Amino acid sequence: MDEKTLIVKDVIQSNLAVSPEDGSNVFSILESSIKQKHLMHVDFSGLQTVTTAFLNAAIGDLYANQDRDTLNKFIKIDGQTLTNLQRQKVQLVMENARTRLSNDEIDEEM
Amino acid sequence: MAGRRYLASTFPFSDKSHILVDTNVWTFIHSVQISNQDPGYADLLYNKIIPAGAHLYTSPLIIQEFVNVMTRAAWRAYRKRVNRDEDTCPYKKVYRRTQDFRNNYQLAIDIVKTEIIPRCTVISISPGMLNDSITNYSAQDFNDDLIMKCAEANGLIILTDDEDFTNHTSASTITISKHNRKKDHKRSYR
Repeated sequence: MDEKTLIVKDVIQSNLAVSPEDGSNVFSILESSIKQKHLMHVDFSGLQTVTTAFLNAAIGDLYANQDRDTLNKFIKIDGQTLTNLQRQKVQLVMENARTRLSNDEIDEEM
Repeated sequence: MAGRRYLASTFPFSDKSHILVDTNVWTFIHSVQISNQDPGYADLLYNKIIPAGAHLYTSPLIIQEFVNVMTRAAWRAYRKRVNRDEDTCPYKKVYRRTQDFRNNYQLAIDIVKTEIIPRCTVISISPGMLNDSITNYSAQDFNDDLIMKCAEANGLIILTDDEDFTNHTSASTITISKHNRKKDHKRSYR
């Protein structure tokens, strides 16, 4: 299996991984990699800020739509490149990907 | 005095801008359960407002609301995951004892510590503002009313997604136009 590394900072050309639009670009690359059955290592090094808005678009959408086995096989998130807080966010985004709140539920909470 | 409503797309953010960031903006950016519906506040704050050198403000009330919304949204998502309702998984008696609550509470506090407090001047609520809020209340939500009084007293514009603010006459607000929302990233909802 081909192996590649996606360096998030290079894809978004910034050390701020904050907007869903940037997350969407990362998502597209990861989705394409899965279709081509390549193993992709995801490197988060050098990022000053990583928001959950970014992570939901980059990773959450993958975990919402793909089965776990496929993701475990083709996507490897390099935990060494994440700070403790960023790792915590990634874990919670993965856990919540399949139980996202609807617009009505969000309105009720906010 | 009537407040003004500004659209984020045309507002001239600069180092002369003094902005009180409302709870819903922080929540759209940082809540695990809600940020997938961000209409563009993450991009606006980090790529436009902060680089422009604008001065950001928060208050203990906003931080309290933020932590509360973060954990309540996590509770709702948790109930969906474990297929339980409010009766079988009450917030205080059951959910607050779970690891999920601890993880989400920790995340909320960490975001306050790393993203909100370092970027904002914390303004306090004076007894005068509190007194004004209980004698001359104008909004339908007490917290909103107090936040508006806070903004007015300190000469701040509120960055908010809250209609209660944008329909209010005395506080100036900046918001993302309902017609200019970014929805193209919401693939999972197609």
